[in-house]
Amino acid sequence: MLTKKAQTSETLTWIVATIAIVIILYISILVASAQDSVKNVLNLDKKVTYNDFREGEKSLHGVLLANNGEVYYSIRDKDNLEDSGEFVKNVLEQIYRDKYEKIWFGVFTFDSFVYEGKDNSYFGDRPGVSSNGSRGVVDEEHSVSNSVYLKDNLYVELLLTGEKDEN
Amino acid sequence: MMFFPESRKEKNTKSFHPSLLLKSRKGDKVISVYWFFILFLVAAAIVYMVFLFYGKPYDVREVEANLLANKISDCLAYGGMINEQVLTEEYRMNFEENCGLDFRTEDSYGWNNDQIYFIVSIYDFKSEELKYSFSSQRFNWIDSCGSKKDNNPFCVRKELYVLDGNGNNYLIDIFTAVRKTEKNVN
Repeated sequence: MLTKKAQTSETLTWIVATIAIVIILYISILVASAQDSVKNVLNLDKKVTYNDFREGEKSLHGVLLANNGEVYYSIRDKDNLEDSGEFVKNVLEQIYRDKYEKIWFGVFTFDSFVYEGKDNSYFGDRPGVSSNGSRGVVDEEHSVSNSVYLKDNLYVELLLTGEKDEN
Repeated sequence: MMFFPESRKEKNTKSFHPSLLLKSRKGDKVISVYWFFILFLVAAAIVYMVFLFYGKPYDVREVEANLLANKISDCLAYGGMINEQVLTEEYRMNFEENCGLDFRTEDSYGWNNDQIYFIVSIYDFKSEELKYSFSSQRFNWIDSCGSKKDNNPFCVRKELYVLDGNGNNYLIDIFTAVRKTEKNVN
């Protein structure tokens, strides 16, 4: 009698253990399969990238070279967009208006690892500069930027934020 | 072989009973079968989980389409200046060769080197008049650009503002598309 009870108890223990193992495996399989059906290598949050903005780099150079380099020289010598802002705004809006939420073009200084973007009357404040000011990192996703050195610690920058998904 | 002290050997001999050994062996067999079953169950589940996780493809079409667009833009413009060879018919006719593009794809899934496509349109910036347009030769699916989550090709559009040596302004529109859905999505 006692032996039978012991056997029943042991059998029950193994049945419970088996059920527990099966449940744990089932949950593990669910977790492993609970993701998108396709892994996208560009799924990471896109912060400002300075390397992969080829079209912006070429357009920025094009804008600066326009009118025999008038735009470049006026920005470099006066540190502002007074003479060329209207032209630059027309060009950039024609290209990027439908592709990005916000277009910013302007000058910034970068001295002793401190970034300082200057607002202007054509494009307003530079968006989303992080609190520590390091290299003007933008907190918004899907933003791209390219800059050109002008003189001393002065740079001119084209920054586009909020890329609209065309696909 | 193990050696026990004399006293322990005696103790073991005293507690031995043939019927007990027989019962114990039957139980061991049952337990062994059970453990093999659990072992196979766990192993199969791990293999299945690994297959579930790593068996899904990486979608690299966005990277491919962007790389192609960047490569084409480098052939069309240096800095902010247009490559003036592009303005000649001869260069445009052999653009793939001149730009070092190779659109051959893997010989699988019935692909016929027709999985990658581009079209370049060059406009006069001021008048918005189309000046030149050229594209790759092989395609039959370009109308179906869509979300990367379904089976449509992934498409990228990039636009450049560039000048020529005479100060003329151009808007270059580069459109690239990569299909290869069988490898990247399915």
